[in-house]
Amino acid sequence: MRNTDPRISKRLPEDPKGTFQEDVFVLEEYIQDLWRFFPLPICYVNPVHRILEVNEAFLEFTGYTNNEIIGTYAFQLWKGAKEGSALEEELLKRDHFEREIILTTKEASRIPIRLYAQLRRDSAGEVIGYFLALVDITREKEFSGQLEEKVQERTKQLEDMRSALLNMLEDTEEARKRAEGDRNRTRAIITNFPDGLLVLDASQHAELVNQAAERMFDVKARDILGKSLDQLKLFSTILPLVELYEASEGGVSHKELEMAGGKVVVVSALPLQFGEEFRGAILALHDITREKEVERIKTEFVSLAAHQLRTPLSAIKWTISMLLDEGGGKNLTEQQRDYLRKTYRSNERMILLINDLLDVTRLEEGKYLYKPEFGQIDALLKNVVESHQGEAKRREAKLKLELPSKGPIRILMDAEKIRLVFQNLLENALSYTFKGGTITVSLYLRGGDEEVEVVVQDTGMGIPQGQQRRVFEKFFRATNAKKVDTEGSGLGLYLAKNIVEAHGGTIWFESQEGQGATFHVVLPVKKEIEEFLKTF
Amino acid sequence: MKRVLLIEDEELISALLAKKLSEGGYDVTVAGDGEEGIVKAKMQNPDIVLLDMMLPRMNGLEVLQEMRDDADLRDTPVIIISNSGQPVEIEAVRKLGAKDWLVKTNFDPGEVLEKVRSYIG
Repeated sequence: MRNTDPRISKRLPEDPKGTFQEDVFVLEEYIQDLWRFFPLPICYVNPVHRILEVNEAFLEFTGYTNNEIIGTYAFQLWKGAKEGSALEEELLKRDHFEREIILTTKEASRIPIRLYAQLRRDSAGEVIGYFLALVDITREKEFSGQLEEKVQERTKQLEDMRSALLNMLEDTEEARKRAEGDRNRTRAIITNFPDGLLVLDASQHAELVNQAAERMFDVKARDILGKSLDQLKLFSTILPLVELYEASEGGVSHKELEMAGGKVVVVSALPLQFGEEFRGAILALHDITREKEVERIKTEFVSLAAHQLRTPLSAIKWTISMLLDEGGGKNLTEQQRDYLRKTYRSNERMILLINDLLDVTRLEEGKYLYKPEFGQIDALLKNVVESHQGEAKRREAKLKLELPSKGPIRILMDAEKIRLVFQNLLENALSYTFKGGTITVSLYLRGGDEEVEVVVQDTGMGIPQGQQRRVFEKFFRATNAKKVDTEGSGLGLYLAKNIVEAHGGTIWFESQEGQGATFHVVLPVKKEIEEFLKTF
Repeated sequence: MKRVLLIEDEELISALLAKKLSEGGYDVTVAGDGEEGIVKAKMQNPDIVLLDMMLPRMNGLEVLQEMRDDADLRDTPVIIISNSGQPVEIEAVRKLGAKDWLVKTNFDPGEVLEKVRSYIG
């Protein structure tokens, strides 16, 4: 920059010793050093926008060499001529100018910069040039871009949250309405429920009583609501219930209670427990007066029917039995004895049918499982199979029993009824198996010894496909079975299924017509006896 | 000779059973209804009573109850011979000390005789 500006030397005063000029050189060097050192790209431009001087940082930033850039038109660096000229004019109007623009480097990279311009004027105020400083704002731009993105993202999140919150508020309102609806519905159900319901709150006071309970207790709800257990005891009709509830310490289930006026109810208490917290109890009263009466009438009816039906049959049985007895029938001819034997057998079949019918009636009464005890299922099967060996021999069929090596196998059962199941299955197998056929009875332990499975397999006529689903129905007999054996009652499998199911077991079969049938019976080994006893 | 009292309203049944028991060596008395049964039981103090349940004038359960209330008859063995036989009924007579319940259609007179023999010899 030395001596580049003639105006400087022109204005210098007389300096005969040269000290002043020396000072000026020192100052120039100082300015040059500063110019070089300055890390910000700067240049000096004349009033017609030609670059006169640039610093190192400027060259580095723009990619041009000193020779390439000096004397060139400054605005070519950043804009097209048109905008450039607008900028020129604008720039020269003010002493200080600042603008964001895009700089194009020699390598044609486009860099966003902030352009600072500072005019220089002579003593008369005329513009003699200007400084330009370029500040790279790429980072700033990126950052503000990111910031904008972040702001938008955040705004969206906030909006989402807001609408979610609104939705939640709507849902809450809906839930509240629904809960209110539910509550009204529950109240309506409780009020109109045919069973008597008395609800106790957490402090054991009457909280709710429905119409049926009002009738059963012969009280008005308003007289007992809010009353404690001790106060409730003052009502003679409620006393027995409260006593029962208190004695049960929070859990009566299905206890019969005789109420005033000969009504019989079953009382159930259900503690309302939320986790550890006791929230009260529901006492339910189910009127079984009518059921009791029906049960009594049915027992009487079955008893009477059994008597009326069996009495003439037993008279016939005993008469023929006496006639055929040695001594009683010694004067009979062989043909007469034969007739009597056949009559006896017919009579026996009639008795069996009646017995089956009575068994069915009792079964339907729910009293069939009379004596559930632990007994040996393997021994029972052995006994049943043995008692049918004679019949098998007569029919020229093979009857085999396969037992597991592990024994004895004890299960909880009503032995008399389970015997009936396998008698029925065996009788069927024998009746419908052809000469030379084989019947195999097998016992298996299943499900980790929790169950037993008995399989009765025959090589008989099988069950027609179309009739298989009716096999366990009452009085049902398959068409092919009816042709061979006209006398079956059609009750055996119905009974068997009911008995097996009353034991908590299952029964099913596989069969193809003409290729035999395989019946499976699965029985639980040791359910909780208490649970078992509840079922009858 | 051991005495058997047979309380049974069905004449053919009682005639057949009486014949069988007599042939078996017992002294058999027959009563055709409950009241007659109680009177004969008190008079004769039998070794065993065969009692039907469904009887005119006084049913089997009532007869059994009355026998249990009578000091002389309290320990007399009773076998029920009835064609009914629901669990509730059986339970009721067992509570009153009846020894057995035989369903008539399921037994022959000969088997009834065996039962009697097993109780009183």
